[in-house]
Amino acid sequence: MKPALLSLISAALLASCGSGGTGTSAPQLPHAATQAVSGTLTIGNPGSTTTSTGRRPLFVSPSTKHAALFIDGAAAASGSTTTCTGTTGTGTGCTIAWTAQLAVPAAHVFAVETDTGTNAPANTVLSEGAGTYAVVAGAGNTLGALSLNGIASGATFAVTSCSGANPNSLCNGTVTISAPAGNAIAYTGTTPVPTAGNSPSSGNVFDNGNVTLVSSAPAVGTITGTAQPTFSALAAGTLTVSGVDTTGISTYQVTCASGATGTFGITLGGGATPSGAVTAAELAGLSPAVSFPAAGVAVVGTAPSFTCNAGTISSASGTLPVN
Amino acid sequence: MSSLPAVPPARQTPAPLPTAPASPAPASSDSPAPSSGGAVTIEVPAAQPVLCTPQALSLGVAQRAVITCTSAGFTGPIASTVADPTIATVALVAGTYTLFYVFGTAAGTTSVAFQTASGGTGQIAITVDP
Repeated sequence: MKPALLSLISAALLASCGSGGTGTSAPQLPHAATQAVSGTLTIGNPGSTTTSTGRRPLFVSPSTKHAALFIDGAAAASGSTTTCTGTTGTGTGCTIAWTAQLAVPAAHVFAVETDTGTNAPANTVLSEGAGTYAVVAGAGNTLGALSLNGIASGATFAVTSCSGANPNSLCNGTVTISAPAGNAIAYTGTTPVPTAGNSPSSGNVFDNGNVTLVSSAPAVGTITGTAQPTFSALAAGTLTVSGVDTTGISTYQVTCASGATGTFGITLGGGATPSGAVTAAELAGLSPAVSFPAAGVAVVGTAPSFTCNAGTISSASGTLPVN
Repeated sequence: MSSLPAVPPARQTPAPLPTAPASPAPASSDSPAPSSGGAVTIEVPAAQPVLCTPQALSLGVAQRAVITCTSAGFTGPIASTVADPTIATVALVAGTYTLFYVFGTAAGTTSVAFQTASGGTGQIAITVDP
């Protein structure tokens, strides 16, 4: 979309809203002029809990050290900060001061990324998000809260139980999807209702896309459950994690093929394509340069492993320390 | 409103125009042009503390014990540092990020500090008996 056209359309929208939008005549277009503007934007839950598009995630990692703001896809950040620190309660972690020369009144895209800065792994994106805001002249722009989506980069598995015998033998387990630096991506809204797969930028809760779990040897054993409506779904042996609840923990279930003998694990997929709310080029222009983690989701710790003996399953996952 | 074009997507997927300014300034082109004052506020949650079980440990010289340490919402490795490594040493159990072996090497007391990459910390006391 060309900026000029975007501004024209946005100006029309603003003009209509300002006049109530009930008349039959075409709205008058205000003159959009480039001016210095400023205002406030809070990274947080967008507030409405019953929007037609569902709940949106809000993920800011405790490992956040640096954050930057880009407006309308500009190559250079409109502001950044290197002083983010964890806070308790409702304290403020950090603030990005920004000022921009923008055509106003018009709609503009504000994109924010948070990254590890000097924390490990250094200069790695933790979350990002973008929203379109109506901006007017002056310093009084109080923009609605912008939610950020975590970058899925790790998956931690646990096997909670195995039971039964062929052909009704199964294992249950959990998987926690985490961002770089190891913090679980969880919904942090004000109610415990799981968030549906929804993002202002990508349509996904995880910024880089849904995460999938499949068996590494379907002839031996497969993933058979458990779908958790609104944030994970099961189809054709693939469990797709597309959202998070307040814990960030999803459940799965595996079973052996009838009468099968052998071993199988769980292969991770997805999480490969960042939303582009902030582009790689924009990140590279920061000083020091920031980058996305490696594409895809990797197992954190020990990968789950299951053994089938004539259709009866057991798990070799986990470690039994011996004194 | 219905005859107006919607704001098109500026990125991959359109976000609904989330909000108009809550306190709009005059929209005329000859409005004053301030040059500062904008801010993006980000609430960064505090890292959760590292909690270990047991919280205090007694063992003999040349003995080994296991402790479990976790930090809520944190799935990565937890680093450990022994205050006095002549009294005891600590090692992560292979294949885990939450289980630690503690080895008693000499009689005395010391402590082990734990820290996550997010800054969560914890500590346990260790007593090594002769």
